[in-house]
Amino acid sequence: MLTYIFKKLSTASLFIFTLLATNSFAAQPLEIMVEPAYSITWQLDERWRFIGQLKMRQLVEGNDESGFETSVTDRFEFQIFANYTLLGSRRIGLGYVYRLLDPFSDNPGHYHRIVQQYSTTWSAENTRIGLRLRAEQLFREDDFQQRYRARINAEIPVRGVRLEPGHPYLLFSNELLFKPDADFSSWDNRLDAGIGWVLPNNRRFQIQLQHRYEEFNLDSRSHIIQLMTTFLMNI
Amino acid sequence: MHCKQINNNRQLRNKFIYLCGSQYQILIMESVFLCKFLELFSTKRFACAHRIRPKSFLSLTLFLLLFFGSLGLFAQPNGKTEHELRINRNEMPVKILEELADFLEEARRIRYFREFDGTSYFWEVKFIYEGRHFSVKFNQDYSLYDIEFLTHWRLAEREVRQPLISYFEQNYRRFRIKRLQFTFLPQPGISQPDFFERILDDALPPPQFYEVEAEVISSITGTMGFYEFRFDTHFNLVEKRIIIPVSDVNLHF
Repeated sequence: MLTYIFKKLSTASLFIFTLLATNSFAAQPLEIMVEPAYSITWQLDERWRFIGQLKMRQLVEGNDESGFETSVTDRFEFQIFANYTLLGSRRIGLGYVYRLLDPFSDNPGHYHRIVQQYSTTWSAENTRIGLRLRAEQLFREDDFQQRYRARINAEIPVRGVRLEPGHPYLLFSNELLFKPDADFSSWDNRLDAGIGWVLPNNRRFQIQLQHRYEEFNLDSRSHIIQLMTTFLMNI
Repeated sequence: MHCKQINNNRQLRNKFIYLCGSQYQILIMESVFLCKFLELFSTKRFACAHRIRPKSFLSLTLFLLLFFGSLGLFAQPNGKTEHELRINRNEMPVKILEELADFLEEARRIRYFREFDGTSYFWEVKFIYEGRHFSVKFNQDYSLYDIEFLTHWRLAEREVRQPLISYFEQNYRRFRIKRLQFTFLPQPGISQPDFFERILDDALPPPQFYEVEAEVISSITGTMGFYEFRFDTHFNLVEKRIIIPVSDVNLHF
């Protein structure tokens, strides 16, 4: 029953996603981004695992002089996380993120982020559902920011009850982000829908389309469509 | 065209890339994306062979290496290995559908599977009948293998929960039961239709086995593991198998 509901929600999310994207495009300029990522997980034992991730983001933007759209590498990102597993599929984690902004410009920027994470998963019939809570501290040269994130995501096998190599699965997630500020606290929402494949030797490949509704409580709200591809492997 | 024919044809081999085992059928199409789209929703395994120009192939390889890194090969540890593939109703043997016809008429969420447990193939039908989750498994010769009744741990009767809790409390420091299943084996002297009626329609009799999936922490070593425990009708442990869970890093990270 729950798998049925989640499948319907996944379909609905694609519809909502299209609606949001269309509406946002009509309302104000829409940013489109592409972000490939490579993730590697090393399981030390049944409790500890370490995750490293490399990402690169391409931004499609207009070129005022030529009038043609060009793609620009927006950022490179490196993440490393340490996760400790508690009983009952619950995990706590600590991570570090380094982000290099506008790497090919004359003045690239960068910042560091420390992340604390609690996550848990459970199964509802065929569907696996994950809940992830994060607190992040962002350190720039002359700035500090705190951010909180809550994400719920679901993974639904398409061809069997369990995921096996060669089987595809549907992905659906929604994340709420909150950035407290003395003057302007802001909220973001990120809605994802996508598809993934389980590959042999504990590897996966995922393609997701993400709609970001940034600072939707403020006048500076914006819409971003992001295509994300992720290759995950375990060692 | 079979994989071996492609392999033996040197001209084709230079032009085509493919992912297949010798048992796969090859479908040759011009469009890779259409082929992959069909493969996604097909119940039969097949691989797509498509023509790639050497220059494109080289750039594709470089792209893959740049963004997705090297592909290390690491063997998966041994554990409970079952493979299950969902199939359509028209791929199920007619004999099985006829035997279950009366129940499937009133059942909902009916799903059909082909299962391989490492040694044998099975046909499986899962459905919800009168609010209860059943799984009926048949051997390759269409004889009944077993009927499984899946229930939520917290909904199980006290007479079932108490002995199982006692076992885990005695043998493990901590435990968390994730799944409870009753297994009914066919009884000699009782026809299959009568057996179906007894299990599916009537009040459930005591099962031959109780199967429990649980995460446990050993009281001796302190290590954590995920196992499937099988108990007989007197709640004596018959079998314990380690479960290798599917990676869930994408849910946590």
